[in-house]
Amino acid sequence: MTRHDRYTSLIWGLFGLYVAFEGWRLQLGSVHQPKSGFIVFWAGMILFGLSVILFLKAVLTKTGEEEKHLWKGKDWPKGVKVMAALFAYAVVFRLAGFLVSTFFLLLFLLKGLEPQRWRVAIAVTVVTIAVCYLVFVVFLESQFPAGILGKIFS
Amino acid sequence: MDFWSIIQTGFATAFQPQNLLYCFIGVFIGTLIGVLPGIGPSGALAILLPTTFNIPAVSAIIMMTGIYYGAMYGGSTTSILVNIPGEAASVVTCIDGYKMARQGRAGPALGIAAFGSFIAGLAGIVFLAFLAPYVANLAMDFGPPEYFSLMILGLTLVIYLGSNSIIKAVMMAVVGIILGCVGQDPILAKPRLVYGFDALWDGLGLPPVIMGLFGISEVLLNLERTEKVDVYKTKLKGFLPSWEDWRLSALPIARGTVLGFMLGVLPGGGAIVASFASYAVEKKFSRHPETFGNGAIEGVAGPESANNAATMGGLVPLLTLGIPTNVAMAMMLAALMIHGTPPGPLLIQNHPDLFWGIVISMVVGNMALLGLNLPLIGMWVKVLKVPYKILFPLILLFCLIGAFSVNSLVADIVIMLIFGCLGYLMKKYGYDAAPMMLAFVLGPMVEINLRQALMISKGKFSIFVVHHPISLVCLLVALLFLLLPLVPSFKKKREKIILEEEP
Repeated sequence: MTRHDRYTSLIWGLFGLYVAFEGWRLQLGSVHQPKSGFIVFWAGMILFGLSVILFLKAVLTKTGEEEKHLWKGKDWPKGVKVMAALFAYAVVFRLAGFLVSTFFLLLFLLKGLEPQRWRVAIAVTVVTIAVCYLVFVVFLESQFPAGILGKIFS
Repeated sequence: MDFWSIIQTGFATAFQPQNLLYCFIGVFIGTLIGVLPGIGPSGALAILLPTTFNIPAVSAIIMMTGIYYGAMYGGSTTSILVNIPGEAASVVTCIDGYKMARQGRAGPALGIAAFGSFIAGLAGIVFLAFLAPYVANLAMDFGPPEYFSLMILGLTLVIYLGSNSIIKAVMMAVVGIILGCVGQDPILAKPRLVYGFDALWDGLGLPPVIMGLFGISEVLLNLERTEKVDVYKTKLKGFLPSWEDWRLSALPIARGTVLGFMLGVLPGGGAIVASFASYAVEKKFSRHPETFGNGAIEGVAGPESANNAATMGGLVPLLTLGIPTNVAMAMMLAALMIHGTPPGPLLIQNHPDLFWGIVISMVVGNMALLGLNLPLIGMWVKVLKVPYKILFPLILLFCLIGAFSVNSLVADIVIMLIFGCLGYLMKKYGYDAAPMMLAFVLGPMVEINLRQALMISKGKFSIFVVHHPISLVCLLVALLFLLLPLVPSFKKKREKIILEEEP
């Protein structure tokens, strides 16, 4: 058990209580005629109960070992930047279209995060987009949004 | 159908040019996935699921199984040459495989891993062909109580075998069940936990959730690591193991095959547990246990055979009962459902071409893998040298395309990203995603069977134990596994095994 378990168990416990409340709102029914909220309610309650046990264990158990730092010495800001780029990609995907949004995303991931030559970043981006377009759009007939380019060329 | 007409059906299906092509594509991609650290077979199956929408069900499943067992072959390459497992089932191969490579015996290590996997794969296919029809017949008599109890047993085993904290694992299984409740109530069709989002009306999609938990999160974890990976420079020659190597490896391969298959059939067992169990068994059986950890070829032969046999074993409960034993099998279940061939006791009867076609195609695929893994090892080593800063944007892009392609919904991308963040934090704080994933898949089935059983019995929980011996046995075994960790000696042993399993 670690110090982190105290905090995570609290979060899961609150989530469990909320789910149980949602289940109760959905109606529980009875044991011989369970309704939509039956499983939701009991799952939430069980999660809450387990979270309480985990919290108590985390509070009462002394490991005596030094706790591992989860963030120290790790390059976690890189992950934050990646996730921000991916969420931005999801937001502009329909509007900008598959080709444009993917071009900028790949360029950012290849050039913006790690030191890389422009030539390599652009070459990998173009080749990857071309291969993806060929495989997914031409061969597999996936429907990707055309976006800005679609409007310009139509 | 008599035995020969069954085999004929299998051959006719597997040897159709289209199916042969998809089998080769599957094992090729599988090997690639196995070789590349950073993406496992589950994530790869989720990404590639949308690519199977326009092809027949048999071809799709042949390709997906090819990816799965191909990854087991490929995983050993990185373990032996880089000391980093391409996928979790090859973690244990690092111990002696990498030591062999450092002693200049990378060739025999790779060779015995490929031959062991091949032999185990073929034996596993034979076991599957004989066992699956028998289990399917048995399952014909199963009702809601049996299915409910069987799934509870499956979840319990996943919790017991896979996680270092039972409480956290049970919590994750419960969260999985809650996530499985999102969407319409399976019996009353009432919307639950959808909050007005149309995209949630049919529930959370399996591919975006898996890609998030096992694809995106893995990339995030790899990105924050600061250490660099070097491929061990050694001359790769002499892949054919010597007679002495064969003499030492024959029994470990045989034991690994049987053990791996048996553990593969068990929910939660799977390839990872099988490889560790095989390593432990070989160390126990060895006359020179001190050589383990110092380049013992038995430490490569046994686990590599076991993880391959386990993949075949996992197909038994999936195809005959419709119960996936691990996350990759859950993806296979999704593929079968999407293609209108729901697995269960009637699958072999209603779709003999599908079942026997898969079985025979796996024989073909295993032969192809032997050809792909040994003569082309130089190519895979080159693939290993592709820097991660080039690889990770590609993995992320395939995840994005995969998530969107399922329903052409941007919401699926958002769901995947949310689960990516969740998976990353869960791994950081020691919460295992596997029980959550399996519970998410089994949750709706657990709910339907529980509610149906309660309706049949008019609310009496005794239906699960009285007049239903299979259900009773399953529940007792599940209870036993949940209570075992309370016994101090078992608790210590279990914790030791789990600690050894952690990469």
